[in-house]
Amino acid sequence: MIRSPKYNKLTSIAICIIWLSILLVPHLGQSQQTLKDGDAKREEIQRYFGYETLMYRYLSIPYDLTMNTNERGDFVDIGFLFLILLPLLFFIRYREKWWVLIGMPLLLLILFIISTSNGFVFEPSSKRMILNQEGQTNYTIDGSVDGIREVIIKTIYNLNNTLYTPFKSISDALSGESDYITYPLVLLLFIGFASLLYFGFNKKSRWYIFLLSGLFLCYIFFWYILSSGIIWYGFIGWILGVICMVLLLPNPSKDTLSMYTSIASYIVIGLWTCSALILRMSNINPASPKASLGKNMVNPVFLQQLVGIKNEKQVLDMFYNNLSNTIRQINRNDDALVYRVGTSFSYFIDNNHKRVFMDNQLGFFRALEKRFPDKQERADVLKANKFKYLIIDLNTPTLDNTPEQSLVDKYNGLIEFVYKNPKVKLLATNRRVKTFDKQGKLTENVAYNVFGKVLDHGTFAIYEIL
Amino acid sequence: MSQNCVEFRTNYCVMKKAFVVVFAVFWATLIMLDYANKHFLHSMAFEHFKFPGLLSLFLLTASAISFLSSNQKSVPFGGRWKVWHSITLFLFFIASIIWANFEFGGIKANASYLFIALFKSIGVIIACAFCWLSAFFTGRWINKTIKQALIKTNSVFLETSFGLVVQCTFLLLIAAVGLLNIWIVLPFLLVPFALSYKDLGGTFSNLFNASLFSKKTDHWSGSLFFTILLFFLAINFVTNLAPFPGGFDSRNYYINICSLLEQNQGLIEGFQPYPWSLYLSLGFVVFKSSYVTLMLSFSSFIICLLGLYELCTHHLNLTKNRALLVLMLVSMIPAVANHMFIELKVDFGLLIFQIASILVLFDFIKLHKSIAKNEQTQLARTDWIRFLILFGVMCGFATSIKVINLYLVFSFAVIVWTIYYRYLGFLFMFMFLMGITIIGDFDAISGLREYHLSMDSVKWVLTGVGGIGLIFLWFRDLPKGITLVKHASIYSIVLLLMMSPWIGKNYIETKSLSPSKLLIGKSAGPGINMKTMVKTYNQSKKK
Repeated sequence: MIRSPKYNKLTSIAICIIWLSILLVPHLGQSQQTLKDGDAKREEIQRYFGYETLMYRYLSIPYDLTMNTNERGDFVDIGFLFLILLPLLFFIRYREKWWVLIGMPLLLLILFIISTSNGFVFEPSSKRMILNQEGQTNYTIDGSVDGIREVIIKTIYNLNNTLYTPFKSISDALSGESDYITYPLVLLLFIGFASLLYFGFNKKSRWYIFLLSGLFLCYIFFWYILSSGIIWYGFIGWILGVICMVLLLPNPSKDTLSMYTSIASYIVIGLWTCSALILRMSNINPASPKASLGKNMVNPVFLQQLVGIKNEKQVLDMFYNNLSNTIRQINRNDDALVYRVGTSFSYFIDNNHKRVFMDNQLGFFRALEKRFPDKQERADVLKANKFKYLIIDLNTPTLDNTPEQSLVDKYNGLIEFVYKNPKVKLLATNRRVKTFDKQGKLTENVAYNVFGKVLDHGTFAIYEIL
Repeated sequence: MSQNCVEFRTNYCVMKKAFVVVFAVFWATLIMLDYANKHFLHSMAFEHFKFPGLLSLFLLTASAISFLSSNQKSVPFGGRWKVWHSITLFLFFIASIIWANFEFGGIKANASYLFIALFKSIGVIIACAFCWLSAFFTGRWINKTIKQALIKTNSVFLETSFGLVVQCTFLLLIAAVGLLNIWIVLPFLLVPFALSYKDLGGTFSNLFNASLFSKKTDHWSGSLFFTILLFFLAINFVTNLAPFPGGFDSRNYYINICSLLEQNQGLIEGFQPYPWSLYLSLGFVVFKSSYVTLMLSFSSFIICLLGLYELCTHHLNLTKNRALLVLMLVSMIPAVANHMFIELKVDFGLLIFQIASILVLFDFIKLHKSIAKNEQTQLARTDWIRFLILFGVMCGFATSIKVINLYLVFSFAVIVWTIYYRYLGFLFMFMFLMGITIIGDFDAISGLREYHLSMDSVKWVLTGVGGIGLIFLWFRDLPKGITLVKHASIYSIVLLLMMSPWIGKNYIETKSLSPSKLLIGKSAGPGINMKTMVKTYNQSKKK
């Protein structure tokens, strides 16, 4: 890489200073607390990004993505190799540069302190998540139940919470739910880091490494700033990251440190590979009954259909109680519209692109509720607009990670709408309950219903609007 | 140098190494411990592991293959591991996985059930292979036929990608007139085979007899990575043999669109642009099978792996073993694996064209460098045109699949300007693009804009400083600037041309010229809002 003339560096520094002055000086110390109540994007999109102080929401992303602090599940799990190997291999390879030798450990430690102060520790013994917000939690260490891993993690987290104090002061002074500083700061950090890489490495680097690493950095930054932490919007970035990681693997014959680094890297990769393979083979769904854990590498019902023991209708009913008959009824009424809150049943409804109205975050239903507080009248409004069916995902509240729990509140409004409403009739559900008699006494009768003493929570309910 | 200085320097080096080692060990241990704490599914996976027999069989097979591929002299069949060996191994893994899962499927394990399952699996593989090979022969035939071939390198992946673009364009045209049915589509898929009949035998022979591991293999690790990859893909393959997709977005959007296309035999109103769902709908349209549609989505990832392998070995000078390590690691990212068997979307289709566009760029720069090395002054004009068209086609088609490809397009722009104008090119192009991104509402999807109170001033500062800087660079070296603008214009026109059919469809449906509406289109579903609902209700009350 050619070292640019001096004036390029001076020009860029001048631009940054001017820019910072324009943006930051008038606004330093100003921050506002604004909460978005019931906003669909806040509930649906931003759950991947987190809800802590805005500045640290951005800065903690690399850690949050690895540890899945904000959203959990296989679909957002990128493994630990990115957070371990990428920085460490870079650190070891370019340790001769003083800004790498000092800067990288410092950066990683700051990242760790900021990120863990808005995270959680999982306690296997009690199977609960102990949340940590703004470094306020003091993790109790119980030697009788905590394993060695939990003792170490809790000790480090307690230490981090103490070290977080000055960072909290900074965030209180400069940021909040919204602020003026985070966006310029993030842009500046990227420009600064890219500039360091540009000026810090000479032209002996092969052109394809410059091209690939440049593409990786730029893409990941655009993803970072625009995608709200949604993993699958950045697939090509992760792939380029894996390539960068492998490119950074040292040649073991170069020197002793390279040899040991290579061995250690392959050990870490080996551990990851074993873990990922076993994870896939076991395909654990924590919501499944204990007896069926580890047995779902291939869905057993699909396997039965594959070998011809069951047909598609039977498979559907095994998944979703009585769904095939209900879907047949819905599909017989070509003109009838369907009001859908969650679930993935659109697939089974003919011409669903014309007939299914989606309201996953219940924003529209809340507006309807405010306009027509009486639930029977609300049913009449839906019916007048050709809505004949209402599909409800009974797990809707579990999507709500907002501090204000706005989605839970809206969902309760929906459940209140269908409760003892003579204008709606339950067609199908896979929730099993013990029913109440007319005097309100609990009976031993078990039925598929939405209301009663819940035995099996279920996932869906379909109502007909009469 | 004095003895003290030497001693100090030695001590400093030792301390530096010690610091590096201690920090590396500390950081790696810390992250692994923390990861293990938060990802209890991993420990549950080990705790409830139910397939020791299958795992043992796999480990035995992997060890044998690693030994065979590294110990060439003693192998009876000549020491060359070929593609058809891999296909056989893949089928063996599929059979083993199905057999191992009979117990938990409540199925009495017997040979007839295994045979039925294998028969269907082979049928699905042949159907998918037919579609991919049709795309490959389409791309190859067009490339050979046009006077100035677009793809000069002998790249199976690029020819397949190009063929896919051509086929998707054809599918779009016939869907637009309501002719998306087997009688039109199947002959179209067969035509490339007929046109290439002279080369058919030779090409198939070359493909299936291509050597994967030969005496030139660096290390046994390459074959180990490959075997692990094959096994992992086999597990996901078997999982996709399903009557309907399992994931939320697959059922509500991507595979749902495929089903709707087949029902309507033409384009459907609403949804974001869906060229890749159009391609995946071949499973329903031609084969009347959900298996084939799901498997086309899954096997898109295998096509991506081919492209990645080419990128790693031909352009990044990675050894075969390290390239296979990359493929294995990419496949085993859980978020990626999730898209292989639960959320079957269009992201792998998008990846094909993203990798293709990166390959095209690398190919071109390599050519540029080799010409400079041979002291020829410049590339031929046709080389430039060829590159810009192909690059524009790949980027444009990828952007029509998902608008988020603009992140990659912007990254390309930043990189190209950096190559031309060095550091200032990077700085000003980056600032300008960030400004345009905010002004054009590309950050709207995240919903985070309202939290950034300085956004109004930031966007104008970025656009202004970036724009002025770009103009300054342009005038500083006018001939170079004019050439760059000409090339950028050709590229942009081709990119927009690729997106134009979908932009046109979106305009027809939304009647709006707003950029977001043109790119994202109309939402699916009945066009109902509060105003119309209240109006309709009031009218019904009057009746």
